[in-house]
Amino acid sequence: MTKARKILENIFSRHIFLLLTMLFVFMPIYWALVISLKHEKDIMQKPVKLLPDPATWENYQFVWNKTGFSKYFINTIFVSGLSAIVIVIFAVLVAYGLSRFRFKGKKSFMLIFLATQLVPYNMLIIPLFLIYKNMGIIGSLTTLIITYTTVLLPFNSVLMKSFVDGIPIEMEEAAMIDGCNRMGVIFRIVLPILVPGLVAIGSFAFLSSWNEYIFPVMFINNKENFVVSVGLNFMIGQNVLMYGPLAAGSIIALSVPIMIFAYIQKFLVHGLSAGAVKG
Amino acid sequence: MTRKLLCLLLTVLLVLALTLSGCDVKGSNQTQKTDGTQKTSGEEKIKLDLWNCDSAPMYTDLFEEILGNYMDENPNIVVEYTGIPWDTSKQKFDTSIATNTAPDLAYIVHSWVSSFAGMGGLVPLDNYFNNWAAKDEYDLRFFDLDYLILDGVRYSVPCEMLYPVIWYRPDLYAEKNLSVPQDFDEFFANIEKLTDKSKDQYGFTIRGGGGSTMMFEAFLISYIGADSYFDENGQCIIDSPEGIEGMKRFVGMYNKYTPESDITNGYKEMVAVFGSGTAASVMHNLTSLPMHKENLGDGNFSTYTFPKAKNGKQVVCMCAVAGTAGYSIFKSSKNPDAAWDLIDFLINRENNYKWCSTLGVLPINKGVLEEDLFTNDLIFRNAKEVLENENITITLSPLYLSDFDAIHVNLLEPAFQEVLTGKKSAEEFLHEWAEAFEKAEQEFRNK
Repeated sequence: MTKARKILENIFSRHIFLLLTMLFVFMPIYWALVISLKHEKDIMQKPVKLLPDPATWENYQFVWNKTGFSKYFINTIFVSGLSAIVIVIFAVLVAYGLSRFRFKGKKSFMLIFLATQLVPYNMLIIPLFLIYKNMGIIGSLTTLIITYTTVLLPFNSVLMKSFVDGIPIEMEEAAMIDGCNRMGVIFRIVLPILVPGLVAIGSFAFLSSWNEYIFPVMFINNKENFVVSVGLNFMIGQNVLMYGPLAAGSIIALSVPIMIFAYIQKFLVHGLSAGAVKG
Repeated sequence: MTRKLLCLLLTVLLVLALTLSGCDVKGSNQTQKTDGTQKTSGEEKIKLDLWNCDSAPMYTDLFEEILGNYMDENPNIVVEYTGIPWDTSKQKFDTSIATNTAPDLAYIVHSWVSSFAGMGGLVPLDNYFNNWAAKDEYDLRFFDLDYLILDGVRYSVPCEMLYPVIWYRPDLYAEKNLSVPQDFDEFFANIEKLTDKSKDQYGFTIRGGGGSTMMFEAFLISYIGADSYFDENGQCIIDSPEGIEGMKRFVGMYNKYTPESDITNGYKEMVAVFGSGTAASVMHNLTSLPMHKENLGDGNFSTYTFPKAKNGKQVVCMCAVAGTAGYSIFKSSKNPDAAWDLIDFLINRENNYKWCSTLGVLPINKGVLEEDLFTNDLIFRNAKEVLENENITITLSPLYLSDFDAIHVNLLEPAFQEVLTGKKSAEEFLHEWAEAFEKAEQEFRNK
């Protein structure tokens, strides 16, 4: 009786909740996948079919070939990838400086640095627009890379500082006694230990750039330079909603973040939790 | 290790430098000049930017075809088309006007004209319009609307017109032995009879989310039977006793004869409820025709016009979501003459037919209205008959009020949901609405 109760408790406390959570999280994705594989006429059909029967790839073909998604996809990878790389490079240097040096106004700097994160993106649109226009780069992907780097760098730098704080300074001192200079210390000692942090911050920056919508829709005027988040909204008009292509586009847009998460989840969870407790 | 990392860093910096200097939008064989011309392979061409306030793919196909023909006929002109996603379209236009980066011309909904003109973003079109040779080919009733000519200045020309209709399922009406209602009592009685909650079948679906009050406004004006929004003293008639009665009856349908989820329904959800067969009727304009065809199949739905009000008048209200839309030229355009020439092409008989037959809207070119499609197709024929019926009054929404959009979006839409849930009374809601319109009207008259 006690043993059976223990088994039941075990199932209830572990598996039931895990299953329910999984169901809750995966249901929208499953539904988007099903709709993306249905013919347009079947999507609204009653009774609702839980599986696409007959299944079709036409929504994927439409989105990829007809709406310019193939181009938007490459643009998004380019913008998000480059933004993430730039953010990681700067975040490491900023974090190292904040962690290892004492200087006047450090606390105020940190405060102002973090305060920039409280400014709503919508407030930045017109000032940034005018700056980019005067620079002559409005409409180009460069505007997005600069913007993402600017708005994502403060948070990521502070996050990276927690990782750098966790590295014992004695290791750097030992290297310096052996003749290593400051840059050598950063590249030879700090960076190899920081790998989980680099992955965590790189992926966070990549995904934030990937999902961003308001900056590309405002700064880009040429459809050749649009990104996936904007492309998805092409399927939602004032008087028309293309469920099938929208679902197919969502699945395509979701594929890259899912693959990234699958690959880096170990680093990410470890990295974020390590950063969270050491600070 | 250090060498590898340094190599990686240098590569990244190199890529970054190349990107920042080279990933601009133009190809290497094209140079964009500030006077709105573009040099392509040695030959100077006029470049026109055309934006569409809606980026739905059906517009893209249509524009690509029409603009392709235009560029074939005018090899010295390059037209670059960009569709803007609808949900951020107004914000994008506002930003572009504020930063002087608006396109040369754009297809916009006409409820935005007063706001854009108020920002000083639009080119007056009077000179072009007055000297326009093709003027007589068009139904000028829809060119001289008070929200297109502000302070005596014309800022936009239409390419289509719409009015609200009730889309309904004739098969469900026939099952219950119902006919098209002749007055609003019959309208509500039909909806009640078509409802069977136990079978998840409802007589009507309400738009309770985005765009709710703009659509509801059309119903209310028809219910009141009003030919104007303001009486001779400048008082708004929205909160008249007839208006309050109409709203109570309309809101009273919610969750009784309509699905509970209607409270958050935007356009798409509302059309989906009708398209899935859950609701037997829905109020919208003709542009949902392609969606109904796709969801229900041709011949399984039809339209009727709002019935007569108690005062005996049958009124159709052209409002923000069922009015006119068309083209405006922006102040930042370097080539307004070429932009007007393009507008003339876009709305000529051939292209206006393509436009209207594809999108399910009514033409403003008189010749197009005589084409077979508008004479034979049931939906278009019904719509055309309303335009030609002298007993039907067309009432115009006061889209000329510069705060019109803001009043609806910021004040009325959230409050409408409160009325649906019973947190606010119809009287209170309509008084607030009337006050906001009266204030905006007063500001407009005092300008």
